[in-house]
Amino acid sequence: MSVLQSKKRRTFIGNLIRGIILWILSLAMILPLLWMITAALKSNSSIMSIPPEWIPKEFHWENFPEGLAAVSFWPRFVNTVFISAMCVIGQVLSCSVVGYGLARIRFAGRKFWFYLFVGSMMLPSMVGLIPVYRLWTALNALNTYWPLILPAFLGSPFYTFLIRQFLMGVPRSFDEAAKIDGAGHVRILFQIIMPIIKPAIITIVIMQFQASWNEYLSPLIYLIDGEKWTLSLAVASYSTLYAVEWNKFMATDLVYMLPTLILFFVAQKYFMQGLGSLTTAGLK
Amino acid sequence: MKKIRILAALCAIAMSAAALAGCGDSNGTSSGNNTGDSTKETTISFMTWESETMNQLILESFKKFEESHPGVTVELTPSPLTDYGTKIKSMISSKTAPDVFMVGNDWVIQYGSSGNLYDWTEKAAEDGIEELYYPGVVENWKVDGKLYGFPGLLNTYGVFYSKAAFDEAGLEYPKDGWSLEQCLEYAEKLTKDEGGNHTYGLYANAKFDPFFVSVYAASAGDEPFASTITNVQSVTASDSFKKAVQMIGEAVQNGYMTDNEWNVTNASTMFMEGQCPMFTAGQWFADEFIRNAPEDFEWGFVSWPIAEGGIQTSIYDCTGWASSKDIEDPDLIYDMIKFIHTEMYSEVLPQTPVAPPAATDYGQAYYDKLVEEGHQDLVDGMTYMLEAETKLPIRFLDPFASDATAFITDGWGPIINGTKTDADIDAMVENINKAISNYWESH
Repeated sequence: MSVLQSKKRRTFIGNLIRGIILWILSLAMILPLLWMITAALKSNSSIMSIPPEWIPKEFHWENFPEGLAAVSFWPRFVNTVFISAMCVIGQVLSCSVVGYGLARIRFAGRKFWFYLFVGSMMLPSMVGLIPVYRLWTALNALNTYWPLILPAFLGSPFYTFLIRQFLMGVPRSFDEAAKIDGAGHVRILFQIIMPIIKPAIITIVIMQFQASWNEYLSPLIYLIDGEKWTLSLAVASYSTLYAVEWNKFMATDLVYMLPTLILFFVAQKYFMQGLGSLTTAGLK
Repeated sequence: MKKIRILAALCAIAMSAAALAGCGDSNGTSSGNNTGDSTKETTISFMTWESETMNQLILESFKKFEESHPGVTVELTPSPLTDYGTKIKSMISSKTAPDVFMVGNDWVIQYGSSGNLYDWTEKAAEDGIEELYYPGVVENWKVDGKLYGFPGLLNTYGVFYSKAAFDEAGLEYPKDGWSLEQCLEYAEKLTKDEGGNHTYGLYANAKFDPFFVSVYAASAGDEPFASTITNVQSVTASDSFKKAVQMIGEAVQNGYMTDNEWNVTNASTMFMEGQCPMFTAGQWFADEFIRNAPEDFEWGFVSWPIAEGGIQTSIYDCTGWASSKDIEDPDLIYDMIKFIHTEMYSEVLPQTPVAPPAATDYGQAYYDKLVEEGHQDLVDGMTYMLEAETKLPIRFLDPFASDATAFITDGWGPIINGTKTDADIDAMVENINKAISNYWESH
């Protein structure tokens, strides 16, 4: 056997093993989703029959309209889209500005502020739950969307870190050329830098949209009126102390998770590039 | 082009502001003074963790209350059950709790003792409302003699059984007041090994934890694990308690019943498909069985097993209603709570037959519904347990609960599975008692 043949054989075996491992791991991810789909199409009594039926004997398509209607899905879908969109806009704007400042503008204590941002990621959000709740109560903002949206306009440490790291890999010559042409920081950020850091911004869009879409605790404590509920609360209301209609629960859950899945598949190329930026620059 | 962009940006900001402003607080908690003034508009807010379907039935029922109280509107604040405790804690801490809200017995003790709930003692005494409930129930909603909430629904725990499995094994159906010895003997006879499949005789969906084992000890006339439902000072592992643990451990070791770790979400489906001859669970499973079990599947219900020839003993598990200490019109709120416990449950429960109400005279519609569905046995079993003079806690309800329960979580599994000795039970009890005494010493 020649050296070339031996190398090809080793590559083939390596690829095979890698493929098998990836298949097993991807099955672990996909099986629950497939189970959700099949459960959503069954009668409630046949969902957990033993042995399990992967293909339902009877297809109960009515689970979808009935399940959605039972939790007033569409009005709450509109609420959730609005909140998620506002949070995305808020995070992109605030984190871009702060990330740009930390990466490009030299000012006293720049490193201190950067490490403070990064360090604040270690703080569990539950620590501030009651004090922040009392703050919003004092501001008379309970049962409004302000407590859910406004914090997004005040930035997030992780997204700021992401932008800053991405910018560390962007040559300063872009900024300098713009400065020579008379551009200030605002123009440089919005007209020069933002198009360059599109992958990082799209990563923030995907991650923040998913976070807002799935956020449960904040809507739970801040939204009192059922008409203002988000979908995460509506879907959770299927799970009660007593009997649960699993088929309608799964049908509603499937529709609920579709927007985040679609967003991810549409923008996954940029998402990978954005996350990849974390490895291109150290904590300088 | 630039103008269009600026215009679009302004429009977007305006729309956002409008949306946020439009979603301003129109709700909140509000109770005005309605008594004696039929023209004044008052809104009573109340919060449940029930499903949307049940909430609709509840709201429908409240129309009667609104009719009998002109000017009063009842506004429901729904909440999912998950993290309901966090929500109510936030609301209480910021004084924004609804006028009436659903609670567990342990929360009433916790928030009552910290002075956050309205004290109904005087009002309840004037009205003699305690007589409405099953004996001994209201007592558990008091802290230092003060009544901080009202029991709403009671849960009972028993054994559902497949009639076909009993017929096939040539066994008589069990009767209320049956013994643990008999239950485990039936479990042995109903256990099967066929075609490589092992079928246990008894599937413990409601676990034989120390509190449930305690039913055996107390019914045998021995000291229960926790002798009171609230204000527990110590726990005990009596000889009868250890005897029950040993019997259950042997049944687990012999494969007659499931072990302590057995926990599957499809347990009720397995039962409906005839794969579980006996199935320990709360009465609310009956609602699912009535709605979803195949027509040819016949099942029965019997009370939780006690000691042979023992005294009537059962587990106490109750949810109910409370109000924050800041309510403005206690008389009106009291009327509403009374309406919930009487007329509302009478109307709602027949449509969603999940649990008996704690008010004795208002469960008839619920029981009638079960009888109509062919389950007199369920009514008999629940009544047997609800009327038991000796009632034991389903878990620790006092504020030391999490500290003490940690020792049960850590040590109980191997004990009840029959792989540990009496000395291990004593060690667990000692640790729990230390946690309890530490709490009481510091409070």
